[in-house]
Amino acid sequence: MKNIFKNKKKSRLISLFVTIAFVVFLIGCVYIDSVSILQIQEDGTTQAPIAKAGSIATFTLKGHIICKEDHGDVQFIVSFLAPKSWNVRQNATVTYTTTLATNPDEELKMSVVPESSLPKNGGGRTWGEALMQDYGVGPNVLSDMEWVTFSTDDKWAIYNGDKPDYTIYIRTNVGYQNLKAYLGFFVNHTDDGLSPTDTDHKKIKFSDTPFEVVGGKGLLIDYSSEHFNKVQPLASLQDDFVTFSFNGGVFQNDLISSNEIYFEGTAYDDNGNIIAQVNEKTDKTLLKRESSFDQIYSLTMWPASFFNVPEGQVIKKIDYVFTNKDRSIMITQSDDDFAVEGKPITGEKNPFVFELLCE
Amino acid sequence: MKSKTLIAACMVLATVFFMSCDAFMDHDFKDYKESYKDIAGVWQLKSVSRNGIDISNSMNFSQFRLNLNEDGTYTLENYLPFAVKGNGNWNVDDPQYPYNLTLRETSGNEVTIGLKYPIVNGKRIISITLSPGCYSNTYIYVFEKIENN
Repeated sequence: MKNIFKNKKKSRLISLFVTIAFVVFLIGCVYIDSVSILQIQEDGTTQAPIAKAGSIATFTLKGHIICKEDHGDVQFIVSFLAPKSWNVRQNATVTYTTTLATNPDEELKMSVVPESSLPKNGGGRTWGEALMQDYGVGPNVLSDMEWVTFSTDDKWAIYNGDKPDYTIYIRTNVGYQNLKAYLGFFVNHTDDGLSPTDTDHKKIKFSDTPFEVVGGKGLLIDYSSEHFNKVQPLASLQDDFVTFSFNGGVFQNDLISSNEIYFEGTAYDDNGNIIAQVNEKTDKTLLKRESSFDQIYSLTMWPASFFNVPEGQVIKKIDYVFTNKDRSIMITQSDDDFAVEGKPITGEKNPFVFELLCE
Repeated sequence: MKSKTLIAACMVLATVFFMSCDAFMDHDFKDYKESYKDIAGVWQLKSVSRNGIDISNSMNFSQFRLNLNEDGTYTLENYLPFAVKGNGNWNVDDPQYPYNLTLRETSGNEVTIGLKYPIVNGKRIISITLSPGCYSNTYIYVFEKIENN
């Protein structure tokens, strides 16, 4: 009796092991060979990781698969990390070519994976949520970015020994906001669906250099490098809750030694007229340290209330600085330019500027 | 001796079995009705998340109150960005299964917002998703009912 039970247990374990092995070696390995974010510039010949605001940029991802098991009905996945303002879900067109196809030069369609279609092994999270939790925004320092996932419209049969190549083209409008950000690319397939234990079936790559949008609206938003200041969410209006942060740990500065760090700001309307100036040194303007592990101090505000905006008036931009209680030390945009780019400070210091835009 | 014990055990089991048969009648289930959700009351804002990140500790949100009065009127106390700006009248789409809360300001402006109404830690809460500022920013306001003493 005992032996029968033992044998049953043994055979269950063997079948479990076989099942796991089958799943692991279902496809084999997926590779990303290269990512290109270069765009042809206005002269028609030069290539650079720069696009004009409002234009359509093409990002190209090349890779291959080494298949170790026969399989049918699989859809290939690509996820793209980009600034939220690009609205990739609405604006992007994604196609691919593959040597698996009868015509390897034909561009085939990929479509956005709806939120309701969860990855098989994503633990109940959507593709976007899981990628953001697992990989974040990569080398970027601002979080107003999103992962948008696309799957091949066609389902593929792929067999042991197949070594197909693929090229994915992501064409999207880069919006009108001037910005600079690293872009992220992720590949996987529906049968793996973000399996947490395996890296053979998924690969991730961020662009080696930041991608830049120029000639658009507003001041440059730099997602790609650390600065003294940070504002979240980047797309905000006066009825949002907006967080202004001072990152005192990124560059040498005297303000970080102060016991109390304050926010001083001036709100302007569309015509450049001052709506209100807040420079009191009270709890209202005092920044709170986010955690004991870093030196980031933040203040979250509802701008309409913080600046006591009269009914009918609208804040268009906020000039602000971080300072200590007696205003003897100030961190401004000029200090940031000096720290980041080595730009010398001449004359009066310029404040940080936050434009309230919603695009 | 053994068989007597066996017979006694069988009789006990049979008694329990037959007694249990009548415990639930079909009509008990048919008569069941989902209770009306008592949504009227004073609701205090307990937590706020912005684009999926909890910002409840970033500023003082707890003063904001949504008073849903029994007479069908509502008032807002210590206003924070919300679906409506002024006071007015309220109603839900279904008192048994309220999925939508409609707020009609006295100015005539009417807004219907999606409502979740679960019990968390033994307390009824209201969870409302809204975008009072830029449309791309989504906030979830969670209100807890203030019980009358």
